[in-house]
Amino acid sequence: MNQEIVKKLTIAVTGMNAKPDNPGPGLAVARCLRLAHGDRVRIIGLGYDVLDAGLYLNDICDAAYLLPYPSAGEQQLMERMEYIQQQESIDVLIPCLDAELLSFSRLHHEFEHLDIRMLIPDVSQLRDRNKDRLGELARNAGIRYPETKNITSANFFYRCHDDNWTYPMVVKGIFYDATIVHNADEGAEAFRNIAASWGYPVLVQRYVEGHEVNLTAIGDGKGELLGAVMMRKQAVTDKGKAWSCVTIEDQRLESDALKLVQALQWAGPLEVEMLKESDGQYLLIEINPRFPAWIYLAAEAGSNLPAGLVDLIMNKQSSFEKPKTGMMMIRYAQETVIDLSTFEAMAMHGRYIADVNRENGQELNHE
Amino acid sequence: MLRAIDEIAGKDQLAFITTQRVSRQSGISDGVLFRHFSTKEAMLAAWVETRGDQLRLLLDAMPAGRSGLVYLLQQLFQQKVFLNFLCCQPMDTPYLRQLLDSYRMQFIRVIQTRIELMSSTPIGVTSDLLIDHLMQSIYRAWNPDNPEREWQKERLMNQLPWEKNDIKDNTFPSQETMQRLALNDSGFVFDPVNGKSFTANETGIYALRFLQHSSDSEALLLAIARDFDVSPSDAARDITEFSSQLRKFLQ
Repeated sequence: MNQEIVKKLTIAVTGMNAKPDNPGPGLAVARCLRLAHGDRVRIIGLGYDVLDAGLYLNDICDAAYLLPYPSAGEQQLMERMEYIQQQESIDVLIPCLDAELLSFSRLHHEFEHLDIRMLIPDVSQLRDRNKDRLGELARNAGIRYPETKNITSANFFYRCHDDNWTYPMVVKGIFYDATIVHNADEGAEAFRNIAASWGYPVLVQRYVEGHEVNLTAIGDGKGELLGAVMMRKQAVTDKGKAWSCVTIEDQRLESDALKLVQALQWAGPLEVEMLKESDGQYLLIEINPRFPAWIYLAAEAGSNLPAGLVDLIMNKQSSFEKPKTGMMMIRYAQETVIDLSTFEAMAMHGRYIADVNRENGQELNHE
Repeated sequence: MLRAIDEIAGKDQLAFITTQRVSRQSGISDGVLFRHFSTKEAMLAAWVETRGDQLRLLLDAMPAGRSGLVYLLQQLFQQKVFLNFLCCQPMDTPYLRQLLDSYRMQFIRVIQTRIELMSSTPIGVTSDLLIDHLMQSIYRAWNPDNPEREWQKERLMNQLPWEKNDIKDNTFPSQETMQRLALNDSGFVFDPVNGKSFTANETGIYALRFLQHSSDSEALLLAIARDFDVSPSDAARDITEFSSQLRKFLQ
């Protein structure tokens, strides 16, 4: 009998933070991959903080590593990735956090050099979907967008009536965070908080009444939208994140998302957030350059996008099933318990290897 | 210039209007446009005021009674500019939106008063519901994305939407919309397009099931009167109310 050792496909996923009120998408992406492939793939969790709970869930991640924060610079990130690559020989990397995407996109060639494959948007595509340029993109694609203004001073809130701006309105950070404010004092406070966390400019947007509908899919980089799954939020956390949602099928949302993907020639995963007004009109809220944290719902509804993305990257035949509508998710919190040595390994070496019955990246294939 | 904006409104693209587009559509150069209107907003305000005032003249000329209303509908569908003015999605600038809305509200108030004075309206149905029904029917017959608008338009030019024969197709959401609903014997209803779910009682589920196979609300009325212990006039009123609730849920 001829025995050949075949390496398992190794997939690294970032964004393993899992705070209950605002979880990162990484853990959900890893769960989708486990759902599709079970133990036939090796999953490497990548996180930024020792308290990123997903790093320690050994039925999901076979190994976990810490990355330097994006603020440490790209050289440090590259050095760390080289080290991890020596240990794990990663085949595919799925970045799941907005803030890291720009560095990963810039380092695309270096990653290719290390034999790490990704499907992510390029730097200019990322820039075009930035919040401060979204209005222009929406206009070009023929999609409505709530009137938005960049501001650099809290005085705006006391004089905004002169420019026909009325309360309530939404104050947003350039990367993240949004607060609804009802008067000038609330506006000024929100402005200061957001400017302190996310810097300038701060954006103000007209408040529009309606309900939020979201779509996630993969852009193939040639203007095609693959495997779209849509949902409506039914309940949200204090941070406005989906806590409960249900899958829907809304052709208008899908056609608008397609227009955006065509306008951007988008490559990689994305989430399109839109607001449906009570009169049935749609407004674009934002485009996220990654899978959303609710992606596990998509997989259970029949369209496993992370698994499809891996197939696409590995040039395998990938088929995207039409998801079932009316599938509902409710998010809940659960604890994981780790011992001191595990925590020490992560805190001191930024590394943890799950001690489970999976052979370390190798599997015997009998011929 | 006005005609160019009319056409853009007719394509429901007022929110994306630019001066260049008006200039291209009307064949008037940017420079000339700017000599008359300092901004895009000034141009749109002129359009809203002119068309709004013309619409008011049309309302003033409307004869009394049912035939007056039908005459007005005919005028509206023959002169598409007013329909565009009434139905298009408004521009994003708040004061223009308000101006446009005030003309539209005025239109609705006049028509509603006329409806209240009419003797031939369905018994037990408020004028709020009727005006709501009429405006929805006008919108559907105008909506450029509605494949069935031609015959809906034809019918609206001859009879009011709540009149006999007409209740059939117009009161309830389309059969296609009804068929997408997931119904359960327990009374649970889910709309897979907008993600809303609600519950309906036994009669509600009966009516929904019926409407998934037929859009004939006359037949529904007969079936309900036959299978449930209810007088035809009560059933007719309940059906109208149910349809109005249903339209709100399925928006």
